[in-house]
Amino acid sequence: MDVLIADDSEFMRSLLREILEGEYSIVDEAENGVEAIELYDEYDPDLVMMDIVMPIRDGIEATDEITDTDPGAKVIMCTSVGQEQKMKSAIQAGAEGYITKPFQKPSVLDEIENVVAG
Amino acid sequence: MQIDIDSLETYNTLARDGAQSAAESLSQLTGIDTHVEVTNVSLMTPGDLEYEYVGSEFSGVRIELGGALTGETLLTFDEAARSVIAGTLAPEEPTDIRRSSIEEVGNIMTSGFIDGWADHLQTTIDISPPTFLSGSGADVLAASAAAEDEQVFVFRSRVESAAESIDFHILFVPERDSLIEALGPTGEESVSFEKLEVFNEMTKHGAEQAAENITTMTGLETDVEVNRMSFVPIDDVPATVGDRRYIGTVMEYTGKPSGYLAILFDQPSAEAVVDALVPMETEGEWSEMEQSAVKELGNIMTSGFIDGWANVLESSIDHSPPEFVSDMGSSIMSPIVGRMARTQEHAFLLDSMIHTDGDGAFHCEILALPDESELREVLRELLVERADRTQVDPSEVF
Amino acid sequence: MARLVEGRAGLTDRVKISIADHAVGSEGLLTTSGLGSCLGVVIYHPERGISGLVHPMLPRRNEAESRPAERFVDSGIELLVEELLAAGADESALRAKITGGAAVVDFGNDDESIGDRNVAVARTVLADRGIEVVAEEVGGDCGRTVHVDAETGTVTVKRTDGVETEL
Repeated sequence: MDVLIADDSEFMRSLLREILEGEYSIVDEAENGVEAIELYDEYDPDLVMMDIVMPIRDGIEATDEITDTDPGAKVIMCTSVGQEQKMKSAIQAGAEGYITKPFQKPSVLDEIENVVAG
Repeated sequence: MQIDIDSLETYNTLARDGAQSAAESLSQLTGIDTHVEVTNVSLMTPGDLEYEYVGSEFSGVRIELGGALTGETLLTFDEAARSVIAGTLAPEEPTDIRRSSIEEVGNIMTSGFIDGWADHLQTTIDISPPTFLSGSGADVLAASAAAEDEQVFVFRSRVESAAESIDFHILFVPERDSLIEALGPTGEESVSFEKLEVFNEMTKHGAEQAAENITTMTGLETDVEVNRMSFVPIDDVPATVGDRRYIGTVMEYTGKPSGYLAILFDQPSAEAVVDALVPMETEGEWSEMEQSAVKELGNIMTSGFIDGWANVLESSIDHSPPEFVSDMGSSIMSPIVGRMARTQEHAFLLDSMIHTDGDGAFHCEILALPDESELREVLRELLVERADRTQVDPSEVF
Repeated sequence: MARLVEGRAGLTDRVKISIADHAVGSEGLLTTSGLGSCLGVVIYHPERGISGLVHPMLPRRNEAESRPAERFVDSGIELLVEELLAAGADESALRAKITGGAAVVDFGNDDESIGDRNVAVARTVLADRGIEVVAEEVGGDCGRTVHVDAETGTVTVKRTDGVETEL
């Protein structure tokens, strides 16, 4: 399964890569919402791990655009934000899962399994 | 019980003028030239006062107030100030005379501090004979109301000598009802005391969440030591944070309320955090990966801190990606304050300190500066009964 | 909050100046610290041995008369000059040194930082009054601590990156 990571934090991308590598194939890393949209078009990954707070365009806007173009896209928000209104916006934008940072490896893998299983 | 924020401004000015006249009394008595560094009024639990005295030895006086304004004042000198005062007024004298000189100076200075309040209220405030205090931390507070849980307003002034080697603190803790009565009738701009208290508790909860995030990410055991909501003249905010060197992040948040948040670690704590997050050894300057780790920690702590506000208020608050900073606390705060000073004369400063359990070697400060008028609006709209709904589990929403 | 140091010799040899604060003196040190985007503007009359230091935070007061003059670069400089003249300085002999105006926090969405604008306004206001700026240690991204020798107008600037400059 191909996964795209979108997070503006180099540190967080390396942490996610560590957790996912071996389980999934990581196609690329995006540093902002615009890059996430571009790289999604380029690789057509099976899953996007999407941060919310990012420069240029945030993760909710990027998710909205990705799921608009590809209604089958699977996006898990992977964010520090724990606000109910944001969770609702993420659902509206088309996200299917939500992980709050700081996270532990098992919870990340569980959430991916849930979302992929549909 | 309603509090008129505008009259709180007036009282903060009285406290500043009072501290100034106490400083002048000290100059006349001893020749030490001093200057009021900061004055603010904070809402906090009395237990948090202890922090004021942690780590160094103080001596001074406690004086009880009666009449138009009841409560107590604590005037404390650091070791250097104590020795200069006793050395000037009672040189070569036995200990009890030296102690008596401190009591007398404390007495005169407290009168200077209180006179302005009495004049403002056009009445008299009675002061008790001074009780001598010495020690550090809880010792200083032993006889005061420190055990109570109820939040109180505390007027705090820090006064330093120009030579920076001497300082003293004046704390004025009025009894709540007495202060509220003194603040006078409330207008449309007033906010309920209960809501201020509840908001302060929500903020404490946010700070605890942020502290927990540090622990989860780094394994360092942390706890929130102090949490207070201060009302500070805008020009005083940088000095309140002080000249100590800090490493951390600054974020701007937008929504209701909007404002700024600084998460600042002292140098050793920043190193401890980075060592835990990025185990690679690096020399000298902060590497890109280390800065990224500090920023991500700041990002996660920010969410921990402000999400509770958004959830209770059923709104959303966005924050900017964090900016890495490494400088003097006051230099970090000055551009933030510069932006805020365009529209406000006073700031609500929400200040939480995170320490490690036990040794207290770890030190992190969370400083939130919400837009003043937006925070007033938030306080008006706050539903007290929702105050415990700070946290939301995504699995309940998805 | 003005404190005239002159004539208070013996009490102190240092006067610490906070944000939106100023002092004029003829001996000892005038100091200020934690200069981020704020400025430390020094104006002095070299031959008479009188110096002043103001620590403003924002560029222009814009007729907001109720706000403290020393908070703003333009009104802060005006006030400082008036007090220097009152203390016996000649306007035509005044010289200035500008310090501070750093961008300690990068807010990203600003075209020009507060620090840069503060420096620009200081230069303009001083030029308009005909006061020559003889030295500057401004800009960058580090906080500064400034010490002014009141008698000579010699300024020592310590930056948080460890660089120390004498102006």
